[in-house]
Amino acid sequence: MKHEAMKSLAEQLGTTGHISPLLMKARRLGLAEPEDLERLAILRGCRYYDSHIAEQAEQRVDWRSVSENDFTNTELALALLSVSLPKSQIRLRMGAAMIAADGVQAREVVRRARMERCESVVRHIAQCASQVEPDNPFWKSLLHGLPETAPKPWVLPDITRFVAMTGVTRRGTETVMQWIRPRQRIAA
Amino acid sequence: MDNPTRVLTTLDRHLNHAVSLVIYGRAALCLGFEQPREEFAHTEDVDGIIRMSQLEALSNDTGFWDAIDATNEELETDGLYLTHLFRADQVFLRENWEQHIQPIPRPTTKHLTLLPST
Repeated sequence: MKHEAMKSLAEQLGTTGHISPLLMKARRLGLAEPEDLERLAILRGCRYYDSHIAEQAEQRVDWRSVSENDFTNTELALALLSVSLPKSQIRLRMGAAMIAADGVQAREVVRRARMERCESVVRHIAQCASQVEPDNPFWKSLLHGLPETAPKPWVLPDITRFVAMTGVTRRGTETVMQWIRPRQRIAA
Repeated sequence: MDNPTRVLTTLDRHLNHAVSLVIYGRAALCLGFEQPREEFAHTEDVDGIIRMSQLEALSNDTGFWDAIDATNEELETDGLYLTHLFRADQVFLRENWEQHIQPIPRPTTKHLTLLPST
């Protein structure tokens, strides 16, 4: 029997894994391992998670050589969320952040999610995000475009894993949730 | 032209070498039978099975994956795609299934040999 940690996300979701053309594309660009995708996400602004993987990822590839033209943020997000990879909470969280990157189009995410068979994962993320940002039309568009799927909260991260929580604001002590998304570096 | 034919002829056009692909699901029902049900012609994707004997070679065949990408890009505006490719050991198949597959005669292709799963 396969150890839980070795199971693909697809297996944990109770479905069949496939040979992902998106991961094949990543591999052709030198992003052969899941950690390479994580490193690229950090390079693209997911610095919130930098400390989580810094010691795991070895320098196998110059991630800076993979431009957004070569591998778009949408592709990176969906690769991080791929059901064909072993399940990783940190990768799912990074994928959720990358989906919220500037310039990512809901229509493209919906198409890619269908192609990559991870609609249930993206829908779970959109449902969580719509609670945090109820007025954001991006999440509404995603939920509108994705089919209803049975939630599997025991497999996918809880909403609290996708957000930064503030305990003190100018209004005093309260819990404010902010969806974690990539931040552009500020030019020196 | 039915959607499976569009997807597969587009893939064939982007290939530059011979590839044998087992298709299944609605696309196989559409192309593998005479007078298939109309609904099969409208499926938006073509599902494929990668035989274990071809898994390593096809996984390393960058030309094949480039052709898949080019096909999906070309057909994006029509919502058609080919991405659901499963290892043979990940789907339910009859015993000795490879001994029972027959080539699909249509569509006419230059590089792609199509086989239906049973």
